[in-house]
Amino acid sequence: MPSETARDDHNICRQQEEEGEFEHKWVYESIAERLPLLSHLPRRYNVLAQLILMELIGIALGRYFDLEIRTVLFGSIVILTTILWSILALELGPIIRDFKPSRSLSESLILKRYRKRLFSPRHLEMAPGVVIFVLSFAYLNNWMPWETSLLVTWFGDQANPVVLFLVYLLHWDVSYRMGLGIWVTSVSLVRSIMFRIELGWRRKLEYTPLHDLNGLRNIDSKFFLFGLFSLLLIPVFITDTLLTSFLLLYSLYIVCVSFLSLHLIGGIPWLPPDIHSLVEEGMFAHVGTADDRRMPHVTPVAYVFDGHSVYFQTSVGSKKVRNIQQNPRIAFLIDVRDPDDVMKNKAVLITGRARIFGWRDVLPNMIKLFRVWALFHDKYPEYVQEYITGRRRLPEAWQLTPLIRRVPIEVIPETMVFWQEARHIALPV
Amino acid sequence: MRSLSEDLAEDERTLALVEGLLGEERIGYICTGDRNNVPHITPVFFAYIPHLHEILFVTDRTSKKIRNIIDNPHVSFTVDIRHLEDPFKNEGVMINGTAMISDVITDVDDLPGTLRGPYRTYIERFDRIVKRGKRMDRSILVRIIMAKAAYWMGTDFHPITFEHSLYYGDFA
Repeated sequence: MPSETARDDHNICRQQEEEGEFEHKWVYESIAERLPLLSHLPRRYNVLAQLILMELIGIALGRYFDLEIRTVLFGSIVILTTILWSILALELGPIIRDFKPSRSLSESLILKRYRKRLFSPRHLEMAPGVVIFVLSFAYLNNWMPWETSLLVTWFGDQANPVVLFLVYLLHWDVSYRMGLGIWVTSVSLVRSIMFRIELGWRRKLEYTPLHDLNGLRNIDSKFFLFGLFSLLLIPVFITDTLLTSFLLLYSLYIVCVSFLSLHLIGGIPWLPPDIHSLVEEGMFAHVGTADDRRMPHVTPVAYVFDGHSVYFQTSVGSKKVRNIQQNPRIAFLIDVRDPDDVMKNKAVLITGRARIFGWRDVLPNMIKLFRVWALFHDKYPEYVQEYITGRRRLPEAWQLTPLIRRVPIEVIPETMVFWQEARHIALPV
Repeated sequence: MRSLSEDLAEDERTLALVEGLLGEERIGYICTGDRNNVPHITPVFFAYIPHLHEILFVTDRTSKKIRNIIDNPHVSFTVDIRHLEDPFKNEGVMINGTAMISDVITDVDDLPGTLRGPYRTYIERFDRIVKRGKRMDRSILVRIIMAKAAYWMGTDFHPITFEHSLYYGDFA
């Protein structure tokens, strides 16, 4: 259990949240909420309305100033890319703000700092965007040693000031969103590195719930899109080697940083150290299922743990499989008994949903299933040997014929209860 | 096809094996289901009452399993001995039955006569655990009335149905 001091610190974190410390928003989010008329629309329609409005303005200007169709088309591509980035920003911001403090003080502080950097009241997320804007503005206007004729290619020798103003407005939109991509992915990488460093300091029941870790993974996997969307701009800048190279480099940076962050966060155990060691130490578990007539059923099983999920194998025709097919809810209890003192017995009950891996699931989950198979061989070498040598003694249902006679089942956790010294502690998943 | 007398003899042998294991072991695993049909398992210290074919344990009246039993009295109960190296030596009993709960136990004499003896045996056997782990003012007695049992040793599986049972689903 966390100490009193740790609990106090958690309370402070919660209090800060309630007081709205993390309520700051990105500049774009605040603008989107204040756009006249559009702000009343649901988020999805708000962005769609922005897209339509900007496209209409672009086409109208194109016709009024007699711009080339190619230029109008390029403008449309830039508007579409900007809107795609906007959708990402509007989706990710609220998810990140919704994180709850974890049960580890140090990890809570990392999450707190992460959010503070992302949603800084000084709007630090604008900094990379400003740098991109200033440099690219200088470049487009030939104020730098490298010259470009992009503006001439798009608008001819005498570009109208109104058109130029709107182009620079769009230019700022692109720069801001590209900068936001750099900012969020870089800050997320720092967060993931800090998480990995702090992992070694976890004690007893300190951890970050699976729900939040999955949330972080989900966010990091969406950051890839910042990089991928930028590739849409390549046709617009294809005649300019420097800007095209910059776009490719930007995309590469975002993808690499997101991948690294995702990889680091993916390796973080979602179980606190005490339960993690219990699950790794335990040799057998009891699995509880219930059929659609509400009849419970409990049997012992051998299981493996891959650091994220627990798996067991059972016969295709078993009561467990039939029950799970009728009702996927499952209870999975792992306990370690102390032969000298029953009060030192420990157990963890994970309840959630069961996922049966049938034939159709083999291809998309080949790596996972192979790992599970290897884990069973490592954990129960004597069992595997006995099953092989005693094959003739085995009834058909017990024969080790993967997917034909026996199927692997994954327990997807939803709740967790830990017993220690005859006390039970409910922990969020 | 086996004769009736062979079946009865087989049932007697199975019952002896079931009773042998239940009499020796002290920790069992009870599985209950809540109103949303979500299963729940907990280890319990239990005593077996041979003449009633009942399992008895004491637990906190506020526990999840009691709340579940109130919603759905069908339970499954397993006792097993695990062999780390040879799966053919794993032995166990699984019981399907109905759980009945008593009032909070303030005095042994408040219990029905047939349960006083088993309850005293339970308290004596788990004296230290009961005193350390449970608040007696919140403890209630749970009886599992066995409807079906199955004994296994390795791959040998022997089911048995009790006479007083109502229909209670299938085992394997």
